[in-house]
Amino acid sequence: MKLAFPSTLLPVCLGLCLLLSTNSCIDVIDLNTVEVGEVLVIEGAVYAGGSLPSVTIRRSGAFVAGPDGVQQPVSGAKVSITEVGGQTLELEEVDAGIYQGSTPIGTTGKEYTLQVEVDGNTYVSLTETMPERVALDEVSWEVRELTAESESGNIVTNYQFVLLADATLPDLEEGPYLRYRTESIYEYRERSSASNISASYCYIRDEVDLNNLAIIDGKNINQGQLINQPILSKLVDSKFTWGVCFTAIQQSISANAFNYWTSIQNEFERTGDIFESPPAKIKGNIFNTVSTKNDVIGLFSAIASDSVKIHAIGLEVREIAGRTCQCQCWPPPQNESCSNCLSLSKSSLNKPECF
Amino acid sequence: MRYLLLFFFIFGGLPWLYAQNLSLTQGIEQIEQTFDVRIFSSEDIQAHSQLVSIDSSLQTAEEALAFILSTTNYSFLSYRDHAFVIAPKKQLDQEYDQQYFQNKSDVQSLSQRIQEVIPQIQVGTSEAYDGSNILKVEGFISDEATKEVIIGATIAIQSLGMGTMTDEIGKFSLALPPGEHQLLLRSVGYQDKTIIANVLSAANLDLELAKEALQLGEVVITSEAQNKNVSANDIGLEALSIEEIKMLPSFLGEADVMKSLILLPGVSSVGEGSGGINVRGGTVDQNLIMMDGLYLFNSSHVLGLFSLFNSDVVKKVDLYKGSMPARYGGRLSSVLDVELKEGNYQKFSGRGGIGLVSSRLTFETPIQKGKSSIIFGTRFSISDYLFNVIDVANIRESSAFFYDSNVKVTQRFSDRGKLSLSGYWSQDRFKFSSEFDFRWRSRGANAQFSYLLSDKLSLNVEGVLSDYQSRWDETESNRAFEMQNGIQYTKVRPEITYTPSASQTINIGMEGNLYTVNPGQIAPLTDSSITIPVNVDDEFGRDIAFYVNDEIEFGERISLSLGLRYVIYQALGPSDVAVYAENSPRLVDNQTGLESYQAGEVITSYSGLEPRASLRFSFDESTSFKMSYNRTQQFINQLSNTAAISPVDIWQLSNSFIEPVRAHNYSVGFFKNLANNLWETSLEFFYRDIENLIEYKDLANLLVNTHLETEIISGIGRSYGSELSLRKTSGRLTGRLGYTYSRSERKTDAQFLDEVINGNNWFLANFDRPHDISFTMNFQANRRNNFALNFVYSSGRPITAPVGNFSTDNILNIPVYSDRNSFRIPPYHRLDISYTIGQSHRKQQAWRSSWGFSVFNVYGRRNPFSVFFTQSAFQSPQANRLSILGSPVPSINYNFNF
Repeated sequence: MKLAFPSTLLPVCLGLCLLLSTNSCIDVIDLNTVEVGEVLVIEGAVYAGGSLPSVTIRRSGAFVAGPDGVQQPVSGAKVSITEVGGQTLELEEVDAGIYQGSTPIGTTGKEYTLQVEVDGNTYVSLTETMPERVALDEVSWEVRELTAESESGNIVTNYQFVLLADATLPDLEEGPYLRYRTESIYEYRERSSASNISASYCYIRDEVDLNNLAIIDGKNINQGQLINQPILSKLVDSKFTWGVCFTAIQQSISANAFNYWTSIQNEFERTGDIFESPPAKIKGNIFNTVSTKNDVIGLFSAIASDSVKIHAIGLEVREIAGRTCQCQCWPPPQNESCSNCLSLSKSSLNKPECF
Repeated sequence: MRYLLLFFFIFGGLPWLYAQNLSLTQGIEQIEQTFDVRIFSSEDIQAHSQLVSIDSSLQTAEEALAFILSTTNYSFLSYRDHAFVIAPKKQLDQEYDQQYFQNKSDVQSLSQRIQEVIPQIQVGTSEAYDGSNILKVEGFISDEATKEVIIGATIAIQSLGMGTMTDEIGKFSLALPPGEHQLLLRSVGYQDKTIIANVLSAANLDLELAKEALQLGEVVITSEAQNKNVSANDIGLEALSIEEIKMLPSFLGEADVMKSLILLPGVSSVGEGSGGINVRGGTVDQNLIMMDGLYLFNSSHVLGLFSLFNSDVVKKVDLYKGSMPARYGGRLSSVLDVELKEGNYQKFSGRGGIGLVSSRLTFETPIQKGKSSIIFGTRFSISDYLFNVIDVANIRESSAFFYDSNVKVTQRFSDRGKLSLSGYWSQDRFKFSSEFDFRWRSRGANAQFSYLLSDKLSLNVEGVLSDYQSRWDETESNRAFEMQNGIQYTKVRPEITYTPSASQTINIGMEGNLYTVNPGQIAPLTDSSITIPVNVDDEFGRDIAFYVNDEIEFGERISLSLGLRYVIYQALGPSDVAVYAENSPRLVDNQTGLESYQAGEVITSYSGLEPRASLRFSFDESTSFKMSYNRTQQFINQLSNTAAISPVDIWQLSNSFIEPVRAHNYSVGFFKNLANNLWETSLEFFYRDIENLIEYKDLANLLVNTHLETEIISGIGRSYGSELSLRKTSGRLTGRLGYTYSRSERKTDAQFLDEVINGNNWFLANFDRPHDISFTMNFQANRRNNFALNFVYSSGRPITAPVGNFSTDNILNIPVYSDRNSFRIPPYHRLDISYTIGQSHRKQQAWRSSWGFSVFNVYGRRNPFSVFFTQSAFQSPQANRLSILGSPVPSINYNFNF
C-alpha cells in the first residue's frame, strides 16, 4: 500500500525522527477492526421557501467496503416532523429509504422536531429553529496557480478554479451558521467533422461539490462582511473549455447542524498528530430515546437558502490556466461523446439561462 | 514464560567472583572457583543463615576464608597446598593442637587481620564514665567523600536487637550499655558498613559511609539493605539510587530518572514522544513529581525523550506507588520524590559528560569547609549545532534545544540545624522548520530549614516558588497562531518530627499551596491568519492541609503507620462564572448568565479527610506481608484527551463545575527473600476506586476554551492489578524481572443523550495496558567493565477505530467509529543494551573518565505510538502506524569527574 503522509503530522513526526535518526515515522499496517454492527444514518431537513421536507434513512456500510460499500436503505419506518405548537406531518416513503412530506412546512422562526420509529426504537431529534435566510450578495471566481512537488521530484504547476462568495451577515447573538453547496453545468461541444456536420452543444450537470464541505461560523467574520470567501476549489480541467455555469447555494443552518458538519470536516482533516483529539462516532442531533446505545448518526436540519448563478466563461479561464480541450485536441480524441454529447451522463441540449 | 526461563538460566548459570550478602555455602564455592582450591566442610554449614561478604582486596584463599568466617563460629585449617577443612571453632580447638596443624598459627594471625578489617572505634573515655548502665551515643552519619549528611541511614545492633535511623539533619541517637557493640550502618546508595564501637562513656560518634560499591569501583553490587524490601514499612515504595539509574542502558546515553522508573513493576508510559508515567493504572497528572520539594508540572525535555532530572545532581529517587505517608497529598496515584545532592563540604570537585545530543557539567565546592557548600549542575543540548551544519533547509531551521540548571547552597548550623536554598530553571524549544514551534520553561526556588529542637523533636520548614510557562506557535497554516498557558504556585510546609523512642516516629505538619493558572490565550501570528484572539481568564485556588503521621514498630514482627490528612481547597476570584440552565446539558447554548466574584472571594470550597494506614507483619527475617490504604484527593488536573502528554496541555483547578478527584487506594503484598536475600521476590495487588474523574465528551476541544466545563463530564474510575517482581540483588550479575497486570477503566453516568459515552458502560482508559513485562540485567565483568540490558514488553494501548462508513448529503465515506477505546494498537517491545568502560580507580588520579556505549531499540522494532486512520477522497480508509523510533539508536558518551 502506498504511504500517506498527512500534512500536519508530517512536521511533528519528521521533527522527532530527525532527532532520532530514524528512517521513517509512518507506515500503513493491517489492523483487524472487526465489524461491530451497523448504525442507523438518518438525514432529514425542512426548508424555508417551498421545498418539501424529506428524510433519508440508511444503514452504515462496512469499513473495509470503502466508497463502493453498500449502505442499505431502511424501509418501513414511521417518520414524522412536528412543528412545535403546530401540526405533525407524517412523511411517506417515496423510494427505498427516502421519505417525503406532502406539503412544505418551513417557516422562519418556527421550531421543528423529527421522530423516526424503526426496529422497535424511537429516534428523536433536538428541536431545530428555522433560521433567517442570509442573502448571498455576489459570487465571483478566480484561478490560482498551485505549485507542488511531484513524486519524481519535479515541480509541477496546476491551476485551481476557486469560487468566491460575498455576503453581508446579520448581527446575531450567535452565528449565523452557513453552509455552501454548489451545482454546476458545463458546456460540452461535439467535434465538427464530415460525419458530424452539425455538431451539438450539450449542457451537462456535474456533481462538482462532491466531498466539498464549506461551512462558516459568521460570528468569526470581522464586521459581518464576508468577502471573497472560498466556497469551492477545483482543478481546472476540460470541463472549463467552453464555460461552466455555477449555482452557489448559501444555506443558513442551525448551530447543531453546523457542529455536525464541523465534526465531519474535522474527520477529513484528521492526521494522527500526537496532540490530536481522539476520534469518536460523529453525533448529530438525533438520538435513540429507548436505549443509551449509540446506534444512530443523524442530522435533522432547518434550512433557509439563497443562491446566485455565475458563468465562468471558458475563454477567460483558459487565458490564465492555459489551453484545455474536450474534443478539439490534436490528435482528436476517439470519444463517442465527441460526436454524440448526449451519450454523456446527465447531459441535455437545453441551454440554461446562465450561459 | 520464555523470558522467565531465560532469567533463571542466566542468573542461575553464571559464576560470580566478588560479592556480598552471600550464604556461607555460596561464599565457599566462590572461593573454590576463584582460587582453584578444594574446601571440605560439614553439612550443617548449609543451615548457617548468616550472610557473608567477600572483599576484592583479599589476595589468597586463606585470607578470603578467614574473612568470610570471621563473623561465624567456624574456623578452618589447610591441608597440603590446595585444600581446606572448615569446622566449628570449638571442635577444631578441642580436637587438634598446634603441632598437628602447622598452619594453625596462620589462622590466628588471620583472625587478627580480620579484626583489622572491621574497624574499631572507641566511644568516650573511661574517665568520663558516670557509672550508668545506659549511655547515650549520638552523632551524624555523612557521606565519606562529600561530608554531606545522610538522611534515613539506619544503624542496627543485632546483638541487642535494636536500631535507629538518622533524622532530617542526618543525626542519630542511641542508648547503649557500656562495652563493645557491633554496629551495622546502611543507607540506600551506600555500602553497608560494620564497625565495632567500644562504648566507654556517653559521647558523640560521627560516622561515615562510602558511596555504593559500583560507583567507587568495588565489585559489590547492591543498593539497599539486604532485606529492606521485606522489613521496610512501606508497601510499593521503590527507592532507586542514582548509581543504579546510571548503570541502566539509556536513550542516547543520557541516564534518565523517568525512563528508569518505567522499568519498575506497576509503572508504564505511552511510549517515546510522550512525557510522564502511568503508575498503577493512574493518569500522568495523578503523580506528584517533586524535585527537592518543588512540584514539576512537566517532567520532560524534547517531548518526553529526556526527563528534567540531571542525573549528576540527583541523590535519591523514591517512588511511592502504594502506601503514601500523610505528608504527601494533592495527587491520587503516586509520589515521586527526587532528592538532590548537597555540595561537597570538603573540597572542590566536579563531574560531567558529553553525549551525542546533550552535555552536562556539575561543580561542587565548600563555601566554608565543613560548614557550607554549593553545588551547581547544568545540562544543555547540542543537537542544534548539528542541525546547523546539515545541508537541508528544513533541518537547518529546526531546533531541539533544551537546557536545565540546578543550584543548591547548604549551610549547617552547629550540629543541630541546616538551611538549604536551591533553584531550578529549564528551557525547551522544539521547532520544525517554520511550521511549528513549541517552547516551554520551568523555574523554581526552594528554601528548606531543618533544626533539631531536642533529642526527640526536630523542625523542618519548607517554602517553594514555582513557575511553568509554555508556548505553541503554529506558523505556516492559514490559522497561524501563538498560544500560551502557564501555572505558578507557592508552597509552605512546616513539619515537626517527634521521636519518642527508636521504634516510633510521629510527624505533624501543615501544607499550604496557592495556585495561579493561566488556562491559555491565543492570538493570530500573521495578518492573514483566520485565528480569532481569545484570552481565557486566569484561575486562582488554594489548599491548606493539616496532617499527622505515626509510624510505630511493635517488636520485630509488626509495624504500623497511621496517618490523617485534612485538606481544605478553595477556588478564588476574580472570576466570572457561567450559569447554565438547570436540567439541560451543560452547553454554551444553555448558558443563562454570569456570576461575578471579586479578587480573593471564595467561589467554591471543598474539604475532606484523607486517612492513611499501612501495616507490615513479618513472619521471619525474610518474609513479610504488608497492606495499605490511602484516601487521596486531587484539586488540580491536567486536561488532555490525547494519548500523549504535551508541554502545552493545560492544568485546570477544581471549581464550581469540576469537583476534586478523589480515590480510595488499597494495596496488599507478600514479600519473600530467598538464599539469604540474594533473591528478592514480591507479589502485590492493588485497587483504586476513583470519584469525580474528569472525562471528555466526544471530540472535545480543550485548547483555549472559555467554556471548558462544556467539554468535560464527571465520571468514576477503577484501576486494579497485580505486580510480580523477582530480583537478584548481589553478585556480578544482578537484575530484575517484573510483570504487571493492570487495568484502568472509567464510566460516566450521563443524564443527557449527547453526553453519553459508550452507553454509560465501563470503558478502558486510553493508557490501559494489561500486560507489562520488564527485564533488566547488569553484569559487572570486573571493576571497569559493565554490561547492561533492558527488555520491555507491554500490551498495545486502546484506541477508537473505524468499524464502518457512511455518506451524508454530498460527503462520502465518513468513518463510523467504534465505542471509545474498543481496539488496541499492536504491543510495544524493545531491547536496549549498554556497555561501560569504567573509570580508573587509582586514588591519586585527579581526572577520572569513562566511556559508555549503548544501543536503544536494538532490533529496530517500529513500536506504534499511535495508529490513526486516513481516507483520501473516494478511497478506502487505511490504518497508519506512527512510530517515534523506527530503528536502532546507537550512542556513545564520555563521562568524567575530578
